[in-house]
Amino acid sequence: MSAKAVELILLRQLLSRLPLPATLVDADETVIYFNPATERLLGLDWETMGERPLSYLPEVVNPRQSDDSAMGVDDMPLAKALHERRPQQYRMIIHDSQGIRRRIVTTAIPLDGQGGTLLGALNFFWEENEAQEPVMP
Amino acid sequence: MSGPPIELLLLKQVSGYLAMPVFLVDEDGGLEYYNEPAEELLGLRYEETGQIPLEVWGKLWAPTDAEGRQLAPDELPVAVAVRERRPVLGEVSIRRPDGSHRQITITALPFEAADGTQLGAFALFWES
Amino acid sequence: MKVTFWGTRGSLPSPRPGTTRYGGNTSCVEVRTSDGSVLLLDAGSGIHRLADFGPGVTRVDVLLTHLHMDHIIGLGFFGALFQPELEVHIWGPPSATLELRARLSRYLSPPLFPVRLTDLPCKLMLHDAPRGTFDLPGASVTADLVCHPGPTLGYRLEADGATLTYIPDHEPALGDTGFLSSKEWTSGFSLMTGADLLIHDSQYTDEEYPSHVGWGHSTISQTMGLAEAAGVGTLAPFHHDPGHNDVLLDRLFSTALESGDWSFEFSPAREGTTLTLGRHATVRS
Repeated sequence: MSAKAVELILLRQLLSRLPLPATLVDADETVIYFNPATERLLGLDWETMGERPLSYLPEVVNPRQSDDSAMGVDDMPLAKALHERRPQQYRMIIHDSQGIRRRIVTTAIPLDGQGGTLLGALNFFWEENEAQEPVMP
Repeated sequence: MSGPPIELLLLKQVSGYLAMPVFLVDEDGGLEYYNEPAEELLGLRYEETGQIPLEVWGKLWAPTDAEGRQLAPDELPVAVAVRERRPVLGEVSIRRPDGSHRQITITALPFEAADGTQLGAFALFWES
Repeated sequence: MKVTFWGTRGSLPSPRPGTTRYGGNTSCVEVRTSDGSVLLLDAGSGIHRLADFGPGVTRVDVLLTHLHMDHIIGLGFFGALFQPELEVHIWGPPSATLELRARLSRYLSPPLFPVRLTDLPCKLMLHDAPRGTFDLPGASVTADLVCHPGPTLGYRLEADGATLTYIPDHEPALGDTGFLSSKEWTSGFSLMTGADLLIHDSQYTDEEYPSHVGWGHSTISQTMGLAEAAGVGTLAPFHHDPGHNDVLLDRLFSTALESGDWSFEFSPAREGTTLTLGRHATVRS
């Protein structure tokens, strides 16, 4: 058993305290954490679910593109951030544990350590409120 | 327990480890901190700016929008995020102190402690 | 593997009559392996005591955990750097933006220091320590980032059938409401697991820590817990607070030792002392 990278440890501590939903994935494409804000939004329980491969996420949240077309796991922002090592800003649809559709905006970023090591990826996401469009200068 | 909120300590510390530029403002939009990758992209070390108000730092890099319109400090994504307490996406062009320009994509997120205290906002940004 | 403490103090050199037993010099640990190789852990003020490595030593490796002043302040006074026949390799934490040479030059250049790195007579080589395991003369070294303000490494050295872990500046409890509840989620744990000797930050008392959260250091009790959980053979509390004199340190360590039924040997780091690590024992001399 090896300890997680310190960046992931610190991020988990931070994310656990933030009111913004967030998910953490390691370089092996394992979902290693989602925070209480995510639990509240999606009706999930981290302790019950535990670490799972990223490929499991579609079964949990049934992601769709913003036009409601299919979204495979490799199209998910977290996966794209990992594979392309580029941040991703996305509008998409996910479903909570009750099957309710939620339109969300997400930013997924690859987590590169200062030594150039790919540590994983992190996404923040929030429900898109159509009455308040994000500012896009 | 005295000292800064733990969330601020954690964000600053993890920002110091990441290669992603991170920019943090306080609850008034004043510049709180930015990390080394941000220094590299902005062309200015944090020590050279320090903690300065929004009205000052908001003009330092002469930000413009996609149409080339100069953006007022309070129009910047991170300023909107802190004022309206919501996430904001944006694309901005900046002019570095050496005169070069950079197009940057920004995700600005409100920053709130677990006890509900408003801490400001932080931006993750990268060259577009 | 012989491990000699040349500087055990944290934050600030603290030479005064009341600190002579544990020492007033800042972090520097010398490691000598059986094949004669020399590795130094950090270059605090204690490094100035190391000038002559003896005949046959043509290379010295200095492993810096991080670049806070108390860990590099001795570099300008490190005799080896002024010996043209010596090869000196300095390893430090990586940075995405600046080479180690540029970062060290912020200190080793005017106006902060009259001598520049480029002026040093030795054969000087600077390296970013890779994250992971790499071989140096005499030892296999594993480096990884640990929880401390600014990129900070911990090191695990394996040589002569023994393992030494050196984490002088470390705050694994930062923001962790369930400290030690999960080894996987504890900063530095992999580096220290099963080490014959763990040299670890123990700067604060439990009473001091609340006003120093985020400063990057551990309490003595946190370190005791870490050592127990990691199954180390010997714990050497290190990075003594500059405000703690010898009498106070004696009392703090005595209290810590009595606070539990510990499975490890307890040997607080004292300047000028040597521990010899073998396959089965750690011996102080």
